[in-house]
Amino acid sequence: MVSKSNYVVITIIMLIVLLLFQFTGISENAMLKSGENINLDLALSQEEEIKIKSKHQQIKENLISSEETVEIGLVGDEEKCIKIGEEWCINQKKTYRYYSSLQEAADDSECAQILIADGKVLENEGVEEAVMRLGKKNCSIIFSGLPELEKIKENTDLWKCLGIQEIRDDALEIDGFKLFSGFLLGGETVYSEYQQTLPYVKLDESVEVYAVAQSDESWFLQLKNEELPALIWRNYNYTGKVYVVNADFLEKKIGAGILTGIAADLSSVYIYPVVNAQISAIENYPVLSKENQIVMEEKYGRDSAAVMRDIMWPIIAGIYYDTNEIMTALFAPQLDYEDEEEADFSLVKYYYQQISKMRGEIGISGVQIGDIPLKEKLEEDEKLLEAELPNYEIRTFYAGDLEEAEYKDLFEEGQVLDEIHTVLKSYSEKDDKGLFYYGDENILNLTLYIDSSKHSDEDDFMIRCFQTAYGYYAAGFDAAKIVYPESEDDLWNKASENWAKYYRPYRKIFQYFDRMTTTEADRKVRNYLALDYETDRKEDVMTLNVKSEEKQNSFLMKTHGERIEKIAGGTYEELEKGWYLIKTEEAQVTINLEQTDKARYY
Amino acid sequence: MAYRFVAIFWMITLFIIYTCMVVIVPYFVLRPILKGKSVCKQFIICVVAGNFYYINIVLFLGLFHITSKNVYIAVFLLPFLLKAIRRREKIKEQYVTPAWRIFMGMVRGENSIKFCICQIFRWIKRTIKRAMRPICCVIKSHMLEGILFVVCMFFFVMYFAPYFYEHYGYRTSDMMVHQNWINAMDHGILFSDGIYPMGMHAIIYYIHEVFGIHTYILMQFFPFVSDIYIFVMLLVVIKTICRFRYTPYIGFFCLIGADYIQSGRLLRYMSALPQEFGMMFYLPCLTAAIHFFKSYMEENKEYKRLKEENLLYTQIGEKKRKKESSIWLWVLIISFGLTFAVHFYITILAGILLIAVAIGYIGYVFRPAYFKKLLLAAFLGIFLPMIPMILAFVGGTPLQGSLYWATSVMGIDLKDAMTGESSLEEETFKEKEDSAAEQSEERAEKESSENLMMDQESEELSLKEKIKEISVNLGNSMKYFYVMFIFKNETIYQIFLIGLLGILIQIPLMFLFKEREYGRILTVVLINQILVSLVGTSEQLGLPVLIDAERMSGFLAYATPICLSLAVDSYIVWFFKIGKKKQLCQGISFCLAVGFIGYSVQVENIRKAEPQTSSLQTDGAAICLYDIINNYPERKWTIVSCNEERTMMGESGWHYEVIDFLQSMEHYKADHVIEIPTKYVFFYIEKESLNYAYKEWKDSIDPTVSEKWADHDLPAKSGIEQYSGTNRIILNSRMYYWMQEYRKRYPDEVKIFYEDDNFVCYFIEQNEYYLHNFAIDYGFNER
Repeated sequence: MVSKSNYVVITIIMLIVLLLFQFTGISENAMLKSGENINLDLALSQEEEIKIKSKHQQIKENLISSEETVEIGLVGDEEKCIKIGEEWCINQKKTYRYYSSLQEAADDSECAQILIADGKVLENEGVEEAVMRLGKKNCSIIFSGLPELEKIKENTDLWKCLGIQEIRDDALEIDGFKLFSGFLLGGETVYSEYQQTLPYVKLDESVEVYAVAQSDESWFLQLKNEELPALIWRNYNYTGKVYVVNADFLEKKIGAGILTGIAADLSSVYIYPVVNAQISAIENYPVLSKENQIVMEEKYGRDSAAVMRDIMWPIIAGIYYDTNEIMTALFAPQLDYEDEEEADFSLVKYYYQQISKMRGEIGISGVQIGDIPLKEKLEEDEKLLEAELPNYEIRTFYAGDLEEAEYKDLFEEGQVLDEIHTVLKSYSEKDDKGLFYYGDENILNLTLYIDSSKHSDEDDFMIRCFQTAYGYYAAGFDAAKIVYPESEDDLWNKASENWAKYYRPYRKIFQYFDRMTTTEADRKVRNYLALDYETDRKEDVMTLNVKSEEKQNSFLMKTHGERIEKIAGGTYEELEKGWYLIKTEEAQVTINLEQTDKARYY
Repeated sequence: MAYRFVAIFWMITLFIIYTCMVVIVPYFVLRPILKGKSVCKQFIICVVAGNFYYINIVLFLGLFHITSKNVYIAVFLLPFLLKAIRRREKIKEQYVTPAWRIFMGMVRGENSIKFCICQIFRWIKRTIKRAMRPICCVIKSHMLEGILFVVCMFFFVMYFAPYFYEHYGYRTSDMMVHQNWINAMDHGILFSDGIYPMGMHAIIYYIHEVFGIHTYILMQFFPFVSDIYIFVMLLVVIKTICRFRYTPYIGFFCLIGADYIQSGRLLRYMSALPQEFGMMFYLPCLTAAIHFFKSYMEENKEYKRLKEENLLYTQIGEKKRKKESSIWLWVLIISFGLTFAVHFYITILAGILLIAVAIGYIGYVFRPAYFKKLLLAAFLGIFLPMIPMILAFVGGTPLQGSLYWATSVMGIDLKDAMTGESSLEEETFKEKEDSAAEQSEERAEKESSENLMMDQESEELSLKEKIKEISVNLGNSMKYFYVMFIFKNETIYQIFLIGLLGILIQIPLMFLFKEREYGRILTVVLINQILVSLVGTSEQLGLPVLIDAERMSGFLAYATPICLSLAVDSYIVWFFKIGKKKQLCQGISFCLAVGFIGYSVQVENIRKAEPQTSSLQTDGAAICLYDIINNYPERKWTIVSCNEERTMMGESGWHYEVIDFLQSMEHYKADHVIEIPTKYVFFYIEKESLNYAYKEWKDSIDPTVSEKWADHDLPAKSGIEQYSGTNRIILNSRMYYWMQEYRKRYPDEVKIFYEDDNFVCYFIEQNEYYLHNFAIDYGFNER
């Protein structure tokens, strides 16, 4: 028997509980009613952007030096590895200088601590003597590839410098390689499908090897592990060291990761800044018009807009919840403006609410199937989006494979893209640009370098390299291919399965980095580019002085047999054995280190 | 953390474990037998029975290659289970039914959970209270004695403990050999190197297997625990034969606290050695034998009385009666058997002791009733511990090499006795010659056989002349033996002689004044002392040598306190005879004991620990090994050293001999390869080499690693010689310069794991898939 007073109390409590549950939904809806971009708070103001950019330019100019002692020497001029090296120096804020040859570097009384050179310079006469001299001066050299072995066949002194004991094959075809743990983030891994052709040399007793070739050929399988063709190794060269990257890694943008790994190996403790941003975008999503009707009806039994909303969205939302990634949806209201179908803009608000609830962001895509001028397409999109979301400031533009010339004028004042701050681009090895760089009008270009629904060994290695070098990951899923499928893999059931299945084993290992929208990543990258720092070690105390507009900056630290005992002025997280992510909270961070493997008793 | 804390932790832990094993558990199992006996007697029975049980579990199961932890635990629980089955009705009534009632009450909702928990706690409290009651009673009634005991044990710990917590290396090379045999038990092999009394090994292995404590830790710290038991056993045995409560502390303190007996006689107790461990079971034979005679006499007396009074029908039935004499006879059988199971030399000593007992009780020994029992006891005492050895021998396991030597010293040539196998045994023996244990024994063998030769060469004398010569030399030989090996100076020897003389004088007086039992005890102790002394001086007297003098001196030093205590005790007995006031006499005995301790403290004649670094292993090496064993994954590491870590680490890791390591890159060529296939590799380098098995280097030798030493040729591979003398300095110097060169190649990979003034341990973590080639040209290996 419940008394009246109890009955009243129970009812009140139930009402309060009901209200509490409802309140989150109500407040969220109230917030979203404004139709604003909820990520605006995380964006930099125009003035800040200008200031930061000028700072970056200044730092960039200061890094190239011809007078003082520099950290990096770039031996050569036009070689691809030198370009990669320069880009790496700028991003890691290392002073650098150019040398025309190793001899010139050896003659330099204040030679750079690390030299980056193309392996072809080893064909030059007298190079072994220069390498030895550099070694005695405690200078380390990184060679991108080996020269033609025929040309150094007789030069045993040079062999010794490079750690070569025997030349076995000029050009060996390998199926893949094994990357040992510690060199890059992500731990040890085997790439069985990463075909390459490289010289095969047997190494001597003074080398440390970081990657060895793998092959299914029977003669290869019979080799002792220590006789496997090495891809990356280090050789002792008096007080200095020689690194040989016996593959084309330093010829590509992933070279930044390899150089970082080598730099980390060279010093007992290596601290460098990283972006610490992980972006996950859905390109050309949603499509709001009915396109490619026949195929859509055939494959899904409904039009493309319905497929996007009813079939794709629940799975996309599921994947994002599961992976904890933050969505950047790059709207393409209509892919083909030449057909007569019009977009259903009533769905814009629905998508806005759904995406905003996931703390995501909306951008605009420049991709189209038709052939109308880009400006026209974008104006159409803008007009329609403004009608539905008048208060939403779109800051991200997806350029995909478009040439810069096609859209750079559109950023000017009064043009259709004048509110854009970030451009997302597809990855290409053809351009000389890095993963992120400034374009005209203070626009920051970011590269989406991974397709979320694909994962090859090359992709995996690329992720490891870029994560190690920059702590930056940017993946995109192209939803346009669902509407205009080209193969069976483009069907949503297959594509979504691939997207979900590749995430967990291959990308989750880097979940210690921060996930964010493009706007937040833009801010992080701008700060990263404008950041300057100094490190100093006195016994077991490492001091990191940071000059940055932001209070919190991220650094990676690689140690050899040491761990962080305590830290002041920041926080740290151990990512893997010997790898630490440090987040600064003050301009000066003090890190106390202690040796990991030491006797616990005395 | 300082390693001394680790040492102290293990000393305490092992003490608790061993006490639970041999005191607490046997106490609960043997409660009906122990009832009514003094604490000392209970202690003797528990320790003897406990050790006997565990040793036999390991030995008998070992014969069938069963050395598993679970089986050990199951067999351990067997007596409890049997006891529980036997007392099932009582258990049901006392524990099961009330517990069930409470449980069902809880299920039915009649009792709350809180009530049940309260009941459980109340029961625990009651049980603890009940268990503590006798302990409290003993403490209360023996307060003064308790204080005296604590004081003595304080001095004991102050002397013994520093040897274990200040320096950590193995102190005798024999320990390595014994550990090797214990390690073999991990593979189910009991007599890995031939048949040998494996009693101590069995106990250590049992603790290792059941409690998961590494054998290395046990070998390091278990001797401290066994020493406590060995010396407390001495005290306890003296207490069972002395009339007064405090006189035993005089002898006890004389050995462990005061500095009257040479410290050298105690040094072997700092190592895990079977001979010293076996001392624990030597003196219980004395108590058991005396109490057997005493109780048997009393039982007979009682029987006669009942018979005379026609009250025999009131006796408890034969089967249900726990005869005191039978209990002590079994204690005698077991303790004598244990000496056999642990070390044969202790059996010889126990044999001598029993001869002394037989002389003391000569009037009873040959009576048929006694003789029958004693004969059976002798048979069982020898046969029981021999069963595992006989079975193993029948199974084809040869005798361990050192047994041939031991028996040959006694004039028994077992090699010849083993017809058909003699050549094989000889070979086996020769093969084992390089083991450190045998080396020392071999040296002794040589010396004693030389003496024997000399004896044979000496002029043949008639028996009469021989006896005459012995009687002439006896005094000087005794004096030489006691002053040289046992006492610190001649004065103490003279005081000791006076004490013996006192005992001698009192023996007839005791018989005269109807203190026959006490007189017999005095006789036994005196004769034992004389016989043991004779064995010790046999070399001097030209008699056949049973055990060499130095070894005998250790035994005699252990037995001597009995004479001292008894000498004092016997005089107080006279006071008692005169005054008939026991409390007064107890007071006198207390004053004498306190006075003796006080005097020793006053004149600063207190034993001072002088622990020194082991000459076999540096402290640093010992610390590193402990650290590595405990903190690195099993079998994932290798130690490159010139120590015996291979044996010490057991199955935990791998070992690479320095000599092999260096020889593999001698006369360096580019194709030389040394790979060590483990993730972690540790290099032990002595910056100042040990003078292996010796103490200090001569002044002319600087043992510090140097280019000069490194420039020498590598010594040839030759067992232990390669690591002895200056060879060790050469090897350490070579290793040092190899490491300096290697570190240039791998500056961030090679770390210093541990370093002190004379030892350094380098560490390298390898990629197991692509191993380092440790063979390099380091500047001294080009030749």
